[in-house]
Amino acid sequence: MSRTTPAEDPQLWRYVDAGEYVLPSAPPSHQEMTGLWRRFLPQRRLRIQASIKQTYDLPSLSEKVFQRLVPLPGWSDAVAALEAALASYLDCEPCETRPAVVIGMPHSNTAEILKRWAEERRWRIIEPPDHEQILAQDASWLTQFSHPSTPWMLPQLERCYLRHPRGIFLIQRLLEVLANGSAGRCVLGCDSWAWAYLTHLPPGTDRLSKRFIAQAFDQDRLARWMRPRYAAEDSLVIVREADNGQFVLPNEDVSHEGDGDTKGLSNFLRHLAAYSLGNPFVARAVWLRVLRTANEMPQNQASSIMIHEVRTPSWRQVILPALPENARDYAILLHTLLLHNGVAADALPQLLPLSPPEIAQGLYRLCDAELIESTTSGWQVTAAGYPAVRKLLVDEGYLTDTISE
Amino acid sequence: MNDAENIARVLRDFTPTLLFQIVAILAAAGVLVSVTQKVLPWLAGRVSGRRRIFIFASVPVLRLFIIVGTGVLIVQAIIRPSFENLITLMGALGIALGFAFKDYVSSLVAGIVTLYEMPYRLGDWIEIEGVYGEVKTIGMRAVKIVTSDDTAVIVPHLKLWNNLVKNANDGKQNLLCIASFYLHPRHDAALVKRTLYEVALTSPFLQIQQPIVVVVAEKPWATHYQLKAYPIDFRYQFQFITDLTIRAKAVLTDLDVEFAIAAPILPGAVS
Repeated sequence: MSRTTPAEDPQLWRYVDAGEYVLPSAPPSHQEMTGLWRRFLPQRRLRIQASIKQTYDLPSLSEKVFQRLVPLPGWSDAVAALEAALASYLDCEPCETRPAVVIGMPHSNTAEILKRWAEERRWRIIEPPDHEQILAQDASWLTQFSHPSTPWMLPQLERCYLRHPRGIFLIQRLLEVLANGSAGRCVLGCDSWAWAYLTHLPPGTDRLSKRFIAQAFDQDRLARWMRPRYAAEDSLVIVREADNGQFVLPNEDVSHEGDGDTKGLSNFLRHLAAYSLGNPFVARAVWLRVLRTANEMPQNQASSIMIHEVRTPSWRQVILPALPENARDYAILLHTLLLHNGVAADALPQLLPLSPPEIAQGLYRLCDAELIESTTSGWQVTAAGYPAVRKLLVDEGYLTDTISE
Repeated sequence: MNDAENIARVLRDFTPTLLFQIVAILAAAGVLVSVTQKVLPWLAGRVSGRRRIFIFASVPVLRLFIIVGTGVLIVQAIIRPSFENLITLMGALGIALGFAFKDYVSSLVAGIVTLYEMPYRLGDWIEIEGVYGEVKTIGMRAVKIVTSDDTAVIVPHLKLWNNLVKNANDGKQNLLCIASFYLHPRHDAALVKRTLYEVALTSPFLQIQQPIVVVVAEKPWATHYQLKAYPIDFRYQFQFITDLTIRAKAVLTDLDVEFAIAAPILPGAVS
């Protein structure tokens, strides 16, 4: 039985130039249309509804079981991939004096990966200013960037500004220092939405050096990343679609040839990769929502292996966070949250043309729709809700990150 | 004599019976119109909602039917029914209607012209004769625009011939908004210009991919700043201008920039 885990697979993470990011594609649309007209047949519709109910009636995995089955991988492989990508920048002669920027989508944990990388290299980690410093235009925060003696890393550039007339002074001065090369050797991390905004802010970001991003996770990488750990030596976890028995995750210990009701591998992961825009953490959040435990199957008579079967609905039956009816009214609030990668509730009135009660109403409505959540960084768009929110903002004409286009 | 013969050929003989018939028709029409104008409004007052509006709207329509019906009956009574008389009557009617509907036909033709010239489209914000609003419907004869006060204004297409039609967005999503500020002349203009630019740059409604321009002009009574920028969508134009104005005022106040105040014009002070 194979015991490899995603953390041990060196090829899972790869950092590429920002222009080389490739979005995973969804399966051909004609399959969706075929499925679509069938849904209008009464009997088929009833069967689908019954199937959805059946699948979602099964108990969902608890967070504890989910963490055991699909734990967050160690960061070592991501850090190693980042090191490999930055090597050309770091080892050049003469030294590149303009910073490299690592861009990450929301919920990509780019800051976490950067911090671990900096700790391994013993680089100084710069903390962003707090809101009061930003709005007070406290220039003393900038003194640490003038001719520093040691290399440094700033993990969250998006925390260095507020979209407010007084909130862009510090970031503009910082960008000037970075562009003229006097900030020394440094690496910056930045959220993709904030990066899209900062490119329009004078002096712009054109003179900054290389931009890197973690390559998108397609279905193969997702399958490797979410391969379940085994509960014990003598157990096996199988993930199948509930209505047709197709295997969702490939498993070398199980035959995927059709026998009886099994029909090989499903395209669930391909849909998931496309929906999550290649972001493995968004995919994982959706994964948690859809996994259901089926009854444990009896022991395989050929060996002493205990088989745990986990089921998912088919992709078109997946229930995802949906936009509320008047979502357009809250687009401006959602956009603000994404531009700053999370905003504290008390800072929102300064950033939005809404009164505090209106903001509170919007927050509660969006929270009920599972599109946002309150975290230590303030209110943030949820991982599972991010694709729907992004689509809304694209449709409404808001500035969006270009990485995921 | 020839004319008299022609008229005699067209018209029936005016007998007392005919006269009585005409008077009776007119009297009945008068009574019906009067009843319509009194009863229906009374009935409308007894109901509410859409039915009330429907009954009110039906009053002029019924009146029109009664008048037209009366005209038909009278014409039938006094005109000899023959093919030639009918042609004569239709010709006279055509000339009368032609003069009456001259403007209507002109609007219809202008409506056809708008289809290929497209001076305005659905969703455009246009200004005609000082009325600024969004084009909601384009009919055969007229265009309906709804102003920011939610007032519907019906503008005949024939206005196109002789009036300027100002189209703010011309079929696109972008619409330039201008927020004006009048400041006391004693201030740092470069600082204010930069500040207003940043106010626009940080507006949640800003379409950041369009340019932001600050135009400064000196007036005798103030320095006039025009902050020109584009909102994400033209639906937000008024909210955008409001947002720019409020935030700019806050920031300029923090900079101790004084706003100009126009002196009141006293009655009788006009030169």
